[in-house]
Amino acid sequence: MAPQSIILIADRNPRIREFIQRELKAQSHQVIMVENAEQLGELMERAGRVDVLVIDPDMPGLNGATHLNRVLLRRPTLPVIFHCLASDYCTLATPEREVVFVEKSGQSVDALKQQIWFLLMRRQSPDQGAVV
Amino acid sequence: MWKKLNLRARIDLLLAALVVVALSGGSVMVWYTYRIQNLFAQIIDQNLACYASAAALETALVNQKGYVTYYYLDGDPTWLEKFEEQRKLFDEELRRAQHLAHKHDQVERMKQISDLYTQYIAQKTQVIEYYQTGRRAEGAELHKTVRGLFFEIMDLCEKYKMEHFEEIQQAQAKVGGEASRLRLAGIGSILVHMLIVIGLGVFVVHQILVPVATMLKDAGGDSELNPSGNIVTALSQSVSTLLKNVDQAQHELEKSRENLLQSEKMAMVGRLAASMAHSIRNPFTSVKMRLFSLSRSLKLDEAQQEDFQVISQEIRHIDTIVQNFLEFSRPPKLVMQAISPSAVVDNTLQLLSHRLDSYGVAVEVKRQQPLPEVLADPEQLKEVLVNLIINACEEMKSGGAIVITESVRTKAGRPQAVLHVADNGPGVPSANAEKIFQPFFTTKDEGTGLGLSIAHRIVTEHNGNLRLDPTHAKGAAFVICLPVKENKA
Repeated sequence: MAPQSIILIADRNPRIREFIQRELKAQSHQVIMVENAEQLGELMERAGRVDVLVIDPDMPGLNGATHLNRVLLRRPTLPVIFHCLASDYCTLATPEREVVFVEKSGQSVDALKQQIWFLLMRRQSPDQGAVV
Repeated sequence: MWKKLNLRARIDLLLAALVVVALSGGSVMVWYTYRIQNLFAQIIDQNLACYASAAALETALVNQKGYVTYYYLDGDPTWLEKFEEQRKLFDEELRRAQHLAHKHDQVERMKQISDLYTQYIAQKTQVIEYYQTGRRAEGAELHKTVRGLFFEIMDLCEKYKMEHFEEIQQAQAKVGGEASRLRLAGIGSILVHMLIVIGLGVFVVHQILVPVATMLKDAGGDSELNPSGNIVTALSQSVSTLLKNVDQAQHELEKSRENLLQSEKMAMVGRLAASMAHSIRNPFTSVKMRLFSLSRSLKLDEAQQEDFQVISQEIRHIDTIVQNFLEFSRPPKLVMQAISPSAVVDNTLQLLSHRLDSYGVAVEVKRQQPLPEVLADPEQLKEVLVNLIINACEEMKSGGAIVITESVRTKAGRPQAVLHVADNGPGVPSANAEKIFQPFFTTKDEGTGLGLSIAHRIVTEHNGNLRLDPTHAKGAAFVICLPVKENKA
């Protein structure tokens, strides 16, 4: 695993972003945060490394799954984790892009860290199995 | 012209024609009655009187005959007195006959009779004088001549009488002719009446009864409405029923409109509430995350630990309420697949095994063979069973037993998979039986009142039904019926 994996957190709630950032930084990850679809789009367009995107698709400026797919078009291989409520996952998930779902809850940060770790491992050695 | 008239004008016109024909027919009859009465009066007053007068004249003449001859034979002057009486009678009858004569030829005839009679009387007087003076031979000779005049007058009287008789016959024939014309006029009037009545009848049938019958048929009227077959009464009843139906439909429409407006308002309120609930969950999740983080690092004494747990539990409770509300207001889309409800029962019991143990509840499944496949979303169906089982567990506070009986039944010719979930808890009070599926109805302190409502909606979306089993005596029992998947050949 690279010592400084770059995790992009996209969540409308700054407290949740900061909490996840704190938890991930404690694991030596570098964290970038965006709070809306516009910032996410700009970051996706910009050249620069991102290893995993953790996104709650219930965010300002993001209008549905098609819009999300368009925003992520420049990064077709970027692993995506939907960290959101189950209802939002059902509404926004599409078969066009493979995503990992972690239901957002009080204790979900552990599951989130586990999925990030798993995706980073798979990114390093793609033969290690499928995404859950 | 006829086509331009409206129905009312046509009926008025036909009725007016009927009245005119009836009045004219009646007037003709009355007129003819008077005419015939006049004819009869004429016959009686004139012809018959003239005829009687002529007959009396003839009789008076005949009565004069013989008296002078008798005098010639025995010389008795009494015969001459009787002759004189008869002559006076004849004169009276002659005057009366002259008075009655009204036609020219009758007057002429009377003049002839009068002249001849004057001549006859003059010669007869001469004969009497001859007999009185003893000149019997001259008297007898003149008497023969006088006898010729007598028969001549007699013939005239007879002719005059027969002329009146012929006039009576002519008047009779005239009356007969008038009567024939009266009959013809009567028959004609009857025929015209019949034609107008038939026309009116045809008109009434085609312009009123047929359209009325068509209206009645269109209005759904039938013989049941009026067994007597009075089409107008039936139409009246039908129209009355239609008006009532229209009133009812209007009332229902207004009610539906109100309900629709109310539903739209409720839907808007629901959307707002759902949006708000969704927004609330986000900071709540943040709070829960921070609590979780705190719980990992805080060193708390026993009391603080209890406070912390209560805060966590209450926050979890609020989150459950919000989550249930969200699920209720924005139900997930069903992902249907063919699955046996028996498999869903097994999965649910496996999922709930730890919780069932913690509640001290034993579950028994009565199954002869796995239920046939139904088209269902297994996750949603599982949620229905979880709701029912957790509800039962919460009601049976100190443990108990749940029996799930699986069976297949046929309803309206279609097989249904039936799950009967029964517990031996306190049961549902009859007063609450109709309310338990209503949203937000709960008897529990910490209940959201949405569990059974969500379960009911999920089963309904599967074209099935969820109901309380009223026959279950001890505890509560719910019946889930789902249509068995059809095997298409």
